[in-house]
Amino acid sequence: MAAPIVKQEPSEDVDIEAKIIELCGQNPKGISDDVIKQAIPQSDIQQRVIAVNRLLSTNRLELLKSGTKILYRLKDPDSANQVKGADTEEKVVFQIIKDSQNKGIWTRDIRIKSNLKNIQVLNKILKNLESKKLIKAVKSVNASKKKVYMLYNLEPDQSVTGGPWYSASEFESEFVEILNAQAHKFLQQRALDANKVYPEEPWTRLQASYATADDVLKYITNLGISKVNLTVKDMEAILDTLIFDGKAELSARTTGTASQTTGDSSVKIYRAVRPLTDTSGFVRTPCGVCPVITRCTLDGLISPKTCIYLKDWLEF
Amino acid sequence: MSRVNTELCYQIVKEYYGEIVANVASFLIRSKSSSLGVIVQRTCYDSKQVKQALLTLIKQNIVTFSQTKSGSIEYTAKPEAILWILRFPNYIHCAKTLFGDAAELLVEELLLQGQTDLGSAVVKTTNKLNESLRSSGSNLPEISQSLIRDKAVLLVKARLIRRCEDVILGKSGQFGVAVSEVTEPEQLFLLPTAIDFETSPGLKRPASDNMESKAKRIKLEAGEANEQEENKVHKSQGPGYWRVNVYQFHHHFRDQVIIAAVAKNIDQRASEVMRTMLRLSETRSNPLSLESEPLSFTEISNAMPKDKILQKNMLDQYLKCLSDNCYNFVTKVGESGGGLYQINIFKAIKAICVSHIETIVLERFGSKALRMFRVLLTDKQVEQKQVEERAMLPPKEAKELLYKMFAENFITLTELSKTPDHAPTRTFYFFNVSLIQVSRMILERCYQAISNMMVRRQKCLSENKRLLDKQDRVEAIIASLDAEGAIEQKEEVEQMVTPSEKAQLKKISDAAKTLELSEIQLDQTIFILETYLSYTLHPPEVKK
Ligand code: SF4
Repeated sequence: MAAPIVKQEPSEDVDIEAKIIELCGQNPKGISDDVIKQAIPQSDIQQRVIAVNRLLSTNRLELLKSGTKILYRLKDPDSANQVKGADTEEKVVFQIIKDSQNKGIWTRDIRIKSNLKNIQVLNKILKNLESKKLIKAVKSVNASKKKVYMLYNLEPDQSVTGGPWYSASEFESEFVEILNAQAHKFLQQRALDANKVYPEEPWTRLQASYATADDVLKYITNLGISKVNLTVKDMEAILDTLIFDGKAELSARTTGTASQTTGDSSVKIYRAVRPLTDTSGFVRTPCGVCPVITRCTLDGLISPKTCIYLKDWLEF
Repeated sequence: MSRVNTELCYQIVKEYYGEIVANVASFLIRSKSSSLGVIVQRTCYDSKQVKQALLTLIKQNIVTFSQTKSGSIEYTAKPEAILWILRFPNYIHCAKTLFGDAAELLVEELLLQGQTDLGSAVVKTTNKLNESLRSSGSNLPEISQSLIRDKAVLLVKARLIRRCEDVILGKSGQFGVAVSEVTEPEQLFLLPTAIDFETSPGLKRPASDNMESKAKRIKLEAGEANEQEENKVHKSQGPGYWRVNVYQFHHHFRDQVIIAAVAKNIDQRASEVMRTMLRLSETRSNPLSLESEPLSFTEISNAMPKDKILQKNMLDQYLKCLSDNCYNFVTKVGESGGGLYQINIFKAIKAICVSHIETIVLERFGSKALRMFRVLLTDKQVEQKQVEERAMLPPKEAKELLYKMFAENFITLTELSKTPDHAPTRTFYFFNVSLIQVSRMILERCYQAISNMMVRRQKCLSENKRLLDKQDRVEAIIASLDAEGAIEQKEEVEQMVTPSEKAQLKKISDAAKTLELSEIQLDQTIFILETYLSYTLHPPEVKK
């Protein structure tokens, strides 16, 4: 009966919301705030307002006025009465979109499933449904030009939004780079601290310079640079980029006890490293970074005898 | 041998031995091997000039010769020996750090001469040392020749210098026709005997009889088999010739590179542990093998230099760091003797070479490109989309950089088609990095860069020849005035170089210095790439 729950909310709020939904289910005519208050006596007004507002904004409740009283009633996304006045075709399309849940469905697939041959008709139906705020179109990150449809009140799946690295299906490169830099800073600080504490014990020092993705995540969260809640997995992806930058190194540590989530008894640990060698002499000469080196010959148009890169470099 | 490489060889030989020699050398490099007649014909020099050139090249160990079945003598160039000339300063410096000033001068002398007898090298070195003693005004006693002789023996023991190969004499017994093949490498390192130190004063090369000394003045007679330069006569006839053993120096450089990398990855003390391990394994392992012989904890502990002795516990920790971390430069292979450790020479060299290449990618394409490059190094075959995702880069930028690297041959592309028509929509494209290919490509470019530096330096000097000559003259006059003590005149002469000329002169010398320094730094990259490639391309034979 209730709309599928997509978002994980802090547990207490969820309790209140769930209770409200339940109450509404029992009273299809609608309930007032007093009813809720009685049903959840431990809640204060603040919490109730938050919960109701959230339900309203996610379109699961609707607001009714009966006399001076305000009533909350369940908004039923499912029933045909929402699509009232609609023809069968519209209903079929609505059902197909609903089945796709928060993954969404692509126009072409709707067409195939619904057997609607005429694209124009289908587009019209989709427009109709959209204007009624029953469905919405979401840009998928997987294919930049592809739109998928899902029910209006749903939060799109990660595979559609691309997770925390995307906003409005644009890849947030700067965000990634900031996190990358902060994570690096954290690991470097670790290494410095370890150096101070264990100057005489290289192995202990090495061990102390490692940090888990969890440690880094906590640091980043405390910094408050991320508006999005990041998971450990997200953090690992960021740390991976550090490894690929050649700035960090991955190792594993056995924790002794198997962790409940992964059933693994080892955790990934990271530490800051410096490159093994100095910058190669090759790229310290202009020729090393020269864009036309392949066309540079002794007597050609481009030649070391006349080269301006060398001239600037030698100031001669 | 590529065009770039030949060009570089030409530049080097020209700089050190002049244009004629350079032309002969580059002709030989291009033609692989030729007889005197052909060289004369093709280079358009007269045969005397060619003979002179060949003599220089043979003496510098750049050219060897052998007799073909038909009896004519063929000359073959070894281009790598030309490139080694760039390393002369390194060899000399290395000898100095290892064995001190006398060794430095000995090696320098041997390098300059190419091949020489130890006797005269010792005499020259002794004289030079005593001269500098005198001019520095110290009243230390004269250095005796026997002291320098001992140094020479030390150098042989360290395998830094060696005997030259014998020259096989032709039928007449007067002229060498070929350099003999060395069947027993150890023979080259037989310690010098009294006869090796014999010298005939006044003569550059020793001669036991008249005929030999004539031969020494180069009998490159045109015609038949006797167009040969006298090289080294039978040992029994006189002192043998000696030369520098560059390979041993290269092993030493290789070890230095590894030690430096350890210092960067862990710390200074760790690099001392590595140095000790490398020194221990030096005499025991085949220098070309991929791993060293196992070394025991006790051994390493005892061999640490006196001033750097580590507590047992600390050494143990360092060895653990080296083997469990630090790209596995070291592996623990057993427990006896407090733990047995092996150095993974090849792994270390590879890691260092990769790191070098990465710095090049970083400078050339930026940090984002480096990130993708390393994704490819780790994951081997990767599709463009995966690269973007792993590196977390915006697709557009990632694509641009990937194709830029592809266009410059830093990365390669593999096609895998689902259908035989290779239609792009049904084909997977995988990016990958071939280390060997990239190393070769960069190596080529390093050769080109060095050659560019040399050309530029020569041009810079020749353009300002007039000014430089003037400076030389003025300096000579000042020196002679100094000796006479004529202060007033001296000032007058000094004024001859105007301030603007002085500024120009400073600019020239700065530019020349920068270029020379770059040449040396480029050679370091070349050395690392060459070492890595030589390990990969000619893996040493598995020991039976
Ligand atoms: S000499 Fe100038 S043009 Fe030629 S490769 Fe070097 S930098 Fe490029």
